Amino acid sequence: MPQNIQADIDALCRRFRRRQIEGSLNTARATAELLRSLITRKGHPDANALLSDVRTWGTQLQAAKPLELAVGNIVRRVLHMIREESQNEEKEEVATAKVAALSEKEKITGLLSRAFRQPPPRSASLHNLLDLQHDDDDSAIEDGPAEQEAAAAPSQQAVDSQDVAQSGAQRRRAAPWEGRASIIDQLNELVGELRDIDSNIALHAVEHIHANESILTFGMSDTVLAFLLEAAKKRDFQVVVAEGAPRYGGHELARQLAQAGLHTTAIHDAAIFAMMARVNKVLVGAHALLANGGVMTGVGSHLVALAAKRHAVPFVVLVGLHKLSPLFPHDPSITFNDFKSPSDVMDFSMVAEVLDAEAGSAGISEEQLYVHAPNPVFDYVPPELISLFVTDTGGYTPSYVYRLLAEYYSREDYTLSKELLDTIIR
Amino acid sequence: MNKRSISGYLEQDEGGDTRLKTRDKPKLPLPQPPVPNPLAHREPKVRFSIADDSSQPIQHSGGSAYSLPGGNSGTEMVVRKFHDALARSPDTAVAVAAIKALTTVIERSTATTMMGLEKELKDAASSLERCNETAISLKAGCQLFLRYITRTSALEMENFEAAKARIIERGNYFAETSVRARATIAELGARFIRPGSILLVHGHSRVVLALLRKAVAQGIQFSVVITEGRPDETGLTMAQALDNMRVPTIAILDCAVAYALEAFRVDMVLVGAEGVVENGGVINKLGTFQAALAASCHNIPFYVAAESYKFARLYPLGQRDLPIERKHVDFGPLMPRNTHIENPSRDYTPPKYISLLFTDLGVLTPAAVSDELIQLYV
Repeated sequence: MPQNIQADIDALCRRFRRRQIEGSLNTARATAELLRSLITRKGHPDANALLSDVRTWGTQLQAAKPLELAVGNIVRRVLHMIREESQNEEKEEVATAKVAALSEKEKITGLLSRAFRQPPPRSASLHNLLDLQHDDDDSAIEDGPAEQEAAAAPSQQAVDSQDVAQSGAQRRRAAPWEGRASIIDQLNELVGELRDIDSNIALHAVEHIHANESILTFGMSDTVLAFLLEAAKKRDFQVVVAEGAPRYGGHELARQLAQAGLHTTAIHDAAIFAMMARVNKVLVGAHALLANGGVMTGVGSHLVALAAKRHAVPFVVLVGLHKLSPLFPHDPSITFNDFKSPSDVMDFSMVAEVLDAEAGSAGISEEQLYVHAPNPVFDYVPPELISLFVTDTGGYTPSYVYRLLAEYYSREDYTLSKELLDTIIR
Repeated sequence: MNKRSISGYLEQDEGGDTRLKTRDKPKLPLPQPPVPNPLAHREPKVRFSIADDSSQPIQHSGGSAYSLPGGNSGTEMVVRKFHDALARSPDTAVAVAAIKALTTVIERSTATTMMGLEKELKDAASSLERCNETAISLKAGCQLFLRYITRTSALEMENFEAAKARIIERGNYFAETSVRARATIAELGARFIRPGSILLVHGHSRVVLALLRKAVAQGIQFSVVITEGRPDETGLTMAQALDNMRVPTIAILDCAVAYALEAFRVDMVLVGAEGVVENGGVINKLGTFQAALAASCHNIPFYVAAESYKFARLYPLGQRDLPIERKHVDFGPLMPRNTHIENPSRDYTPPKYISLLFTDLGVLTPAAVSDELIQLYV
């Protein structure tokens, strides 16, 4: 059975590496579905075994596609679910013990005192500053020692997890962890959430697009398309589409919008600044939402954001929460950019022509004749330039992102074992 | 007058009369009469300095300094405990010492109800705060502890004695908490230092030092531009510590910050804080504000490292809303006789100039600080 599991992980890793699965949403969905099937198949004796396994699996998956932060995000979310579930279990045990002891007294006390009995929030805050450090001895700075241990013996950890796997297989028939069913339920929910994510974002469309407005967008994004089409059901507005060179996704978007009967204007990227004064709002999609409230998004968006800032036009980013990453833009574990073929920037035939013509001329080495044509895929847009994120759960400002992080992830999981990641990549 | 009071603290305190007086003084000497320096006669009221988080020894003057208005044995005891805790190790943070002192109050308390205990603690806290009215982190520490007693998990206990025992346990544990907080901040903040980067550091701060030490331990190579930190030369203390860690360091004059940011291609500015206020701004050693302004003009990120027990319930709207702590400064024999000298020891940096705060609660935006404080106090 364990080989089977490893084979499945390897299969998905291969598909990631071969770029057979592209786009944040597809990778996120594939990751969630794989994790669901793995957790279902392998009966873990307790939450800790499950945590360590999910962590190891997740690290392998992330290493296969370091550019898609969504993989790590989904893994972190699952880890968070498991942690919460196991905590709830502990609390329930304590609570039942307490109830058994004080059942009569409990009945008398009113709502108010029960409200005070609510467990303190899990994440660190000023509230539990004095409590937290004592109760959760390891959690507060777990990153440090735990990571170091992993660094000291990564192979050891692998052996351990295999041990756990084997002993788990033996014990499985005896007692798989009870919380597993609830985790699988939550994973089902997550997969469903990912399936409907664009339509859930689009639900907010009418709140953000008003009658007779002009909306500027840049390049192609399925999320933006769904959002605009949803708004068009109730509102009459214009869309200005910048083409998004060198991949020209804007052409496709403009075509689809026009087909749907929207008033569409296509412009080239150089006209963005000139056009900005005449639009009411800028809407773009994103590749990843980072912990400081900045986003990784299609190349050229930073220019659009700066133009929007100059004209005080709101710059709204549509982003599903599977793209929310707890990493900061400078984090060494982020592979920030991808480079595509230079032929988009400069035609190969033209390059060849230049080479032919100049090759004969004296005194110029072939090296000097090369034109460098980098073709990056992503831009980083800093939080200062972003007015609002519209997500599947509503609109948030960049300064609120830290709160979302606390809601969806546990701090212990922010770095998926970095050392392990390094060894796998190497 | 009305205008002044609007821009004042959104906070009531009993011992605020001196502060009000000083705040109402004209900021610039009037042109006509050659007034003697209105502050010249004033004894320096401050007995320990924390504006710069400096590790300089704390003076125990004793005698008159202990005689508090309406002081009785209880309040003297709490003040003495506070100074004892500070004196025991130079690494003790002010808030930790304050909470230690307040814990002893609970230990000795004869109160039999939560209300009674609260009352005793409030008195003790206000007498502590009175021994240095300008210390923000002292105030923040006292507030945090009082709040803990009235609002948080201690109330879950079955009876008063158990609750009291729990509070005492927590209070005694707090010193370790502060050490841990520093370790957490170092862990989080060190990730922001990229190999080969150049940092500008202003003022001496133990948290910043811990953070840099962590980065060195992780094998990250970076260099530091450090300001001199007039008039108490805290920057040079810091430079010495950095030298011991073998970090390449450039010392500059305080007035060279704007120059250095551009000339040395500084990648980020890092400062500690004496207090973090409700809107996410910070109160720190004089010169922090101008460093933040210069950094924002150069589009250089400005980071603050501070423990969460420095979050204070203050809402200064500008520099004039700060409790004033003046320190002596000598401009030498060339100083004209009638020129008025002003030497505030700290300034307020508004949140819009701060990129992120490294705290033990995580890496926070200034807005997140408000959120934390509101959650605790509202």
